[in-house]
Amino acid sequence: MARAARTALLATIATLIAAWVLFPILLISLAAFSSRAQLYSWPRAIFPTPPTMDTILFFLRAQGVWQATLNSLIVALFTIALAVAIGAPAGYALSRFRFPGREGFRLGILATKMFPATVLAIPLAVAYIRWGLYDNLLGVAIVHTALALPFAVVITTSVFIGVPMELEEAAMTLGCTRLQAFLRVALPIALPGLAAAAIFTFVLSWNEVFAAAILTLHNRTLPALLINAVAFAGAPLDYRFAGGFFMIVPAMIIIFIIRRYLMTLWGVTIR
Amino acid sequence: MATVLLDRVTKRFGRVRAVDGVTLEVRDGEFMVLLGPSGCGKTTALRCVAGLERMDAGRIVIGGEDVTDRQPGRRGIAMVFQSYAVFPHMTVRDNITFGLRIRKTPAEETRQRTLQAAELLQIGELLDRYPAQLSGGQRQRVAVARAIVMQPEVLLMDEPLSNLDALLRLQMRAELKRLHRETRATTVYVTHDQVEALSLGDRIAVMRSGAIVQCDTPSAIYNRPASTFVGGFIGSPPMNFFGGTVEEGGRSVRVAGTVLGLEERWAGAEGIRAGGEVLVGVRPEAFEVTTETRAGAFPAVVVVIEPLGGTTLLTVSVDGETAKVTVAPDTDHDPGQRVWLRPLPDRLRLMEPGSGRAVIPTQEGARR
Ligand SMILES: Nc1ncnc2c1ncn2[C@@H]1O[C@H](COP(=O)(O)OP(=O)(O)OP(=O)(O)O)[C@@H](O)[C@H]1O
Ligand SMILES: [Mg+2]
Repeated sequence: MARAARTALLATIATLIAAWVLFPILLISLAAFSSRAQLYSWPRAIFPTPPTMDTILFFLRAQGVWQATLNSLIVALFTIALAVAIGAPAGYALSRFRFPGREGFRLGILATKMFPATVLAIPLAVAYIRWGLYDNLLGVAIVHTALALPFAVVITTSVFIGVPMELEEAAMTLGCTRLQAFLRVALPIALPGLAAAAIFTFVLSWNEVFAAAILTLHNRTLPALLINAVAFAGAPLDYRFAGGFFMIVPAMIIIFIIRRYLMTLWGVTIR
Repeated sequence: MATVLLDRVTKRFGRVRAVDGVTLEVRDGEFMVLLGPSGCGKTTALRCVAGLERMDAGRIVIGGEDVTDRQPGRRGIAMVFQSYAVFPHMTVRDNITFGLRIRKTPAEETRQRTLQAAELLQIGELLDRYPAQLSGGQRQRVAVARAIVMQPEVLLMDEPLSNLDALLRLQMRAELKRLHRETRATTVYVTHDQVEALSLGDRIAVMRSGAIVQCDTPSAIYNRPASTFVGGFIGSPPMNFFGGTVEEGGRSVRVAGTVLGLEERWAGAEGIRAGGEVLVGVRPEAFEVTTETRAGAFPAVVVVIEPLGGTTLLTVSVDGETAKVTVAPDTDHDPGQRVWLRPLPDRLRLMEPGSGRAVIPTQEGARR
């Protein structure tokens, strides 16, 4: 009886949290397919009647949107390259070797997440202007790498823990060097997991707005463009909803695809 | 083919001495078994030979060459891991040819050797499958095929049968024996299963706490254990030990109030003094069991009777101590029955009670 009650309570809480996240997404999605007139009418209908692509098309034709999307992609790709290049070796080392300070290193990686980025904003902008990285896509990618690195390290650590050391040792007894054993055995087996880490990094970079907004002026990424349009330029409602929808969809799809890896990361497996 | 020498090898993990000054010489073409309880350092010793473990002291010599500083791939060894370590992302064929490809063996030779190895292990039909599509026994065969296709001078195996069920283990044991007869590779085989060790080994090195306590042929290990540890570890059920007192200057020993005559060779042996304490070790099958008293037999009470098919195992109580005795299956015994046990004089061993070391009878060497 008590167990049934607990299950019910848990289900209720889970539903509430899910609703908290999903309800705005639902509203944005519905609004993105409503006509402009409908969005500005009062009282506003929740369901688009009839559904229309006008709002989305209006957004896609708005100035700078395609360039910003391209910029976002470039930043994300740079971020993935950097985060994997730095994070995967760290993850490999954490999974394979016992060295002094290993636990401290692990904690240190997570501790960087506790540091509020807002505090860094002004010094970072100043430093970037000095270094000539301001309004530069690579500069944004570097900050995104710093943000993504803890996740990249944690994910790749768990990925490499899942590849038994004995496989590499077997390869070595068969004539491989240490490096060959890694490249021919550990890496191919770890590849799906590393892809998950890369995709997660992509989502992180694609959605990141704060650093992108302060560190760019003309070379806006999509979130930076949107936040600027919404906060300072007073963009119309249909632009806002369509933009929001355009931001959410790729992230949702990707997270859905890699959810199995993200789950195992926290020690949960779903079949 | 080559000899293998572990020369005073020591490997520590923190404060644990996993391998503690082990010296062991394996002859050319020999099947050497490392046997011992869990955690005694067998795997670590094998990994030192393979070059997978950096040693704290000592040398590894293979085929007369010091390979201590060589990579695993340059020692002329191949290894079968306990977990098989079959590459999951490669087909069986790619697993078997992996080492040959790394060594850049010509394609035609690779093909032939692969077929040969697959045939030897009877996995010819499985070559295009992935390991996930194989049973445990098949995976084990792939692991062995992958090792022997390299035609190694030395084949190292770490409990290759421990993950198989009992029947398959029996079958694979015979196959490994056949394989060794056909390839004649010097083999070092790790196991904690004494039956496996006795059936496979040309010689057995018994390990305990990182050290080798006895290295000899299976029959010598079984019949003349070097210590109470070896006698107690090997044999199922293990050797019985009875406390006794030496009498008549070493011509007899008193056990459970009964005088047992000793063979002459014990009289002059070191550690045998009149009035001294000894442990008398007797294998369960080395008793004559009677229901009436007679000379050289001590009394016991039957406690449990276990028919095992081929033999019957009696648990008996001797002066409050339990002992195990095997008898023919057709003999009639009842719980509570009084019996007399006469140890066969030529199968009886004496051990020093303090150290547990075997007393070496005079002329032991001549008897071998
Ligand atoms: N990588 C390691 N780190 C720390 N200690 C280890 C390591 N490997 C082995 N040991 C320790 O060294 C000792 C010997 O281990 P080893 O694996 O050689 O035993 P084993 O005889 O193979 O046992 P089993 O029959 O259980 O496989 C054990 O006490 C073990 O805890
Ligand atoms: Mg082991």
